[in-house]
Amino acid sequence: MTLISTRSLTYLYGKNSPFEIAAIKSVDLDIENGELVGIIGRTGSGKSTLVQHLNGILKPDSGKVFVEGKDIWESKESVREARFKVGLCFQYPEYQLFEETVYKDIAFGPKNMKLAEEEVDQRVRRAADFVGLKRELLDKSPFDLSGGEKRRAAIAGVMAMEPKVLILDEPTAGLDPKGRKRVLSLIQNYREQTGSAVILVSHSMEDIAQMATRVIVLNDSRIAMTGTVDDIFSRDADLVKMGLNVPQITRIFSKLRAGGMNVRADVYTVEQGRTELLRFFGKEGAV
Amino acid sequence: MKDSIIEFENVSYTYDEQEEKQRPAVKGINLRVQRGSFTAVLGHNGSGKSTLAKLTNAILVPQAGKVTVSGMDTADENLVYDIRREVGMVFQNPDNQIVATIVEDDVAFGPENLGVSPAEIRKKVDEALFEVGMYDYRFREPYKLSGGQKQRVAIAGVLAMATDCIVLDEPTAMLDPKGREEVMSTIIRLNREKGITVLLITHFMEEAARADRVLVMNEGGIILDGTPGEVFSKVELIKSVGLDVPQAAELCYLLNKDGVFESGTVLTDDECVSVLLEAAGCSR
Repeated sequence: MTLISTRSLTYLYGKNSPFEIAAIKSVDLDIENGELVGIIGRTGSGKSTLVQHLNGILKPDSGKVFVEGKDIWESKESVREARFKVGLCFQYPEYQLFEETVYKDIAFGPKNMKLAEEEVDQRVRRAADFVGLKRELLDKSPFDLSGGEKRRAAIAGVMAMEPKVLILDEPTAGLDPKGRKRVLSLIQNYREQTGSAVILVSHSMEDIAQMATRVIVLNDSRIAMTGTVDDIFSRDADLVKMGLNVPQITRIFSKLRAGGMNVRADVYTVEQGRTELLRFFGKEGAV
Repeated sequence: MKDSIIEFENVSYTYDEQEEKQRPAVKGINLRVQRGSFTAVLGHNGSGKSTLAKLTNAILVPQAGKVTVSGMDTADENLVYDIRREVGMVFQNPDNQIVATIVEDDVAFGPENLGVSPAEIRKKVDEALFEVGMYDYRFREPYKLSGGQKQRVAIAGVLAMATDCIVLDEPTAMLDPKGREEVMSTIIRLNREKGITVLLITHFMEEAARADRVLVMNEGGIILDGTPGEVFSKVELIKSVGLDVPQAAELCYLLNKDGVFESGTVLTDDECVSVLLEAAGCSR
């Protein structure tokens, strides 16, 4: 089932001024149930502008956004509904924690949905457990949490709304490797357990290659490519032209092939690389 | 022994000292940063990296121990301007450190505050913008630049103050792959060609692999200190403190462990490729 569609979506900066410039231009996009869509593109390519249209934070200058088939700008109610169905976690969401306690912060979204108090309470606790925040932290001020905890609290706030589509804009930026892995695996688990679709915006080619079921590449405000991880990361020359790249391990494997080794090209994680090289060297039994 | 530009002697610092059960952000740090060197600092969030950076140019002053910059004690308030002229900082978010509406005005901000003569400022600004490859953009509006370009403008702002040492606190965390490479190649060139001392704080292991020396921090202390090859050979220890090694290093480490071949510590793509081609009998 198609959860989100956009048709000819265009958004302009400096509209009707001599400096008018399109932040996104004629974007047609469909997000299906259960997908994990990775969006990549250089800074300024329109990624954040695009995702902010998907739950009605930005209103398009032309074109339409449909959530579950319904034009979200049809009425006040339909925009409101879209904001609950599509949860968006901004870049550096920890700067947007504002309540007195972590509990209240996570409860903000579900409360806005006018859910019964009990239901709100259950959702807050479930979301906190899910992201691995200890119960005793719920009564603390968000400002007393560590950087990684704040990030997870902010993500929990969006998850507590139990959206059908969860959008995360650069959820791992600025985190250390362990923090990154933790956030990525909780996104993966959320998708597996709820069946929600996830849209992940990232500058990390490694993260996208490892996670995405489909990749969308934005360039100069338009969709330049869309396809599977294989489709996209096999076009390394095109990606480099767009200011992007392929994962480090993929680069290594293309150099091995160029050097005459008969190994697969579609290697995107270190584990895949190890397995492939064990096969190549005839040591499959070793692991 | 080579001349050191920054020295830490048994330095400790705790935020909110009064508050109970506060643990120090850094403790007992001893460190000499050599003039002209390129040092990377790794550590998980909260390990004390940024505190260490802020102690280098008197944004923070140690509560115990002593930090000196070219022999000047950072605790001496009269020396703060001299110290900051020597050690400049570039932060993570490019949008938080740009103050002017035109690129060259932004770069001129530092020398203007130092009371440099207008003719001299003109010269320094042009040179600095040229060094970071942003001279052609000198009349542009900073907000229209890409992240990597903004960070290069921030670096030019530091260079225009005739700084000997640049401390960069996760300068590439918010950038796309191209922007990251622009910033990295700029700082490597400034280090190699201009002899500028670089202290780079980063979460990207491939960036640290390009330094001369890597420090790993954990719980406020330095737990590893060596060349990238030495440090990234300690795969288990590095992982145990929440960090990682570059993908090339990890792949070779795993294959060594699997008994496929034996190699020393591999850091870069190219090293990894030659080791593997050799093991496969396809040596170039």
